[in-house]
Amino acid sequence: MAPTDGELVEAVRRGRREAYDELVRRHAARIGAACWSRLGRRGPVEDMVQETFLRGYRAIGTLAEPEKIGSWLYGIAVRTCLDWLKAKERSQVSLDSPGPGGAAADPSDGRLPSPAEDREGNAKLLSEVEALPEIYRETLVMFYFRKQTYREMSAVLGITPAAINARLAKARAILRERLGGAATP
Amino acid sequence: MNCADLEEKLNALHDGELAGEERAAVETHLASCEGCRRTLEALRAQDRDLAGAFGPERERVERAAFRAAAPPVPVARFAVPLAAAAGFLLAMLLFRRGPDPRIERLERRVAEIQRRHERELARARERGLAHLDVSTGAVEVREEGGDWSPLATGGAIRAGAQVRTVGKAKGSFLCDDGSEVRLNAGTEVRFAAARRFELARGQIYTRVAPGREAFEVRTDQTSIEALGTTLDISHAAAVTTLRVLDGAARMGSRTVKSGFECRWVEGKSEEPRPARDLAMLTRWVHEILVLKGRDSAELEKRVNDMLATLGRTKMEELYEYEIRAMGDHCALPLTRYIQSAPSRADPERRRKAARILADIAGAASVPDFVDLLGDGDAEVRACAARGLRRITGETLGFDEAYWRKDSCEEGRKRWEEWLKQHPEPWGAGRK
Repeated sequence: MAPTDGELVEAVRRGRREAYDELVRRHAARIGAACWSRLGRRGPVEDMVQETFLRGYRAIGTLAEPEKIGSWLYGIAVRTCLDWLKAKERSQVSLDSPGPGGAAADPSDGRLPSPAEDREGNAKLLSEVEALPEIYRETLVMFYFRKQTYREMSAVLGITPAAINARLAKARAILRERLGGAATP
Repeated sequence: MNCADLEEKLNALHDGELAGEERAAVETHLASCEGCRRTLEALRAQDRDLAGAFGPERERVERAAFRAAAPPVPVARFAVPLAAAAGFLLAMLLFRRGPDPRIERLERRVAEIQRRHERELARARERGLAHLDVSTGAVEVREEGGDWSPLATGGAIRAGAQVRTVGKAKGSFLCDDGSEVRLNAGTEVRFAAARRFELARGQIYTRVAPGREAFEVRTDQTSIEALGTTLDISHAAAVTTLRVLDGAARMGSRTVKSGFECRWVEGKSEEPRPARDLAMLTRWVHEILVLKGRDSAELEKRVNDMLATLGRTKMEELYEYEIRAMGDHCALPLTRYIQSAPSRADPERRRKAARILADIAGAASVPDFVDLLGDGDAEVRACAARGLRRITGETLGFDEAYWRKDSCEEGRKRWEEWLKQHPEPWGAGRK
């Protein structure tokens, strides 16, 4: 039987570094979603994901409830992204703003969309996701970075499964409206 | 139950989160409400689009996250039998009552696996950092303090050794950490240590495996640390050029992102700038890719990237030339592109792909060509017929003009019948 997150944390604390690799594998998608939803696809998402896991490794001795490492790492990711945004003097992009898609594009920081994105029209879709209000964007991005149950997401985001449902429904409805899809009931 | 209250429930149903009576109630409503059925269908389509859009985003982020992973154990294949045997042995030791021949046999088995593990680790250390995987010509090696000598495929490179490609040869080295380093013609590289390289001259293309140690390439101008997975680095006459194809890299104090290039000239770095036509700038690796076999995900991606530029850029002739130059190795990605739904959004590019396929595909494409005889585009049907004539020598009495007509059902059925009667040597196709 696979070890629980709590067991892996204890193993890391005993010096078993490979246990942290398994934790990275389990939580990479969620942490990626947290960083992507705050920085957008042209932000330093990979750098912040790596920074999150490095900070987590260094601070793992301070984690009071090992079974909650998922939400703990999520919190580190949020703070890491906010630290970066502040350091880059982007605090004008407030938490209530349209989101990272509204920030001025900086070509020297940016990642060009791949040909696959252009051909498939994914660039337009991702731009609209970036423009969603933060609470809807965060929930939608987490769901699509890694398909998981509402219950799993609620444990990380700290909201009820019903709230997850409501946010996903709203995010999808906004996207359909903005992209000219089918009307909601 | 009215439609206005159903939006969240439809989302939950779509996501598999509805059960029991609530699910039954929604399904009953759907059976009599076309509007809600359309909404559910729109949700499904939207879900496919979002999943497709986020797939590449997730992959690049996960690759970055796995930089925190430990390097792979080179002889991990012993871990499972060793662990399983040791676990069973422990259980038996805990519960045995006196001497047991089964336990003694198991103890000897665990000890033998342990000894083989240690021998394999020792051989891995002797094997060195990497070995030559494929090459298009002569590759040479020089150990520290030694002379240049030919390096055969499979030959090992130890720490401190230099390698170079001779004449127009290109080569690819597989490192023990899973990374790959490809050398262009006229390239000399020193394998200083695990994940540490010194590029004396020429051009290398690296695919970097996750690892705890930094992956670094140095020239006499600067050092480059891979933060992502795919880099192209060239060095000549006091100029080092870095192009990042996937992920990012640090060059001196600058971070260079995917899709960008950066030059270091005579001790100073320039501003990173967008690198246009990366597939063309790095097309020198195609000769190596075709040596690695036909069914290569990397080759398919390169062909797809080059196909995406057809009809878009003044360089399209060069792209088409590169695709054709790889011959039958491109047949599989071209076929998949033509058969894919998104390709129908650009009929002209699809026809170009079909024209190339007709000229370069080999025998294994015959079933795919027969399938394309039923395509909705007259040009694609005509190209398929041309490809079949070239490979099989047959037309079955249907010339190219026939396939440009509106109805070609008879011809298609005749070819399907022909394929059933002549299954060899075409195989079952490559769908």
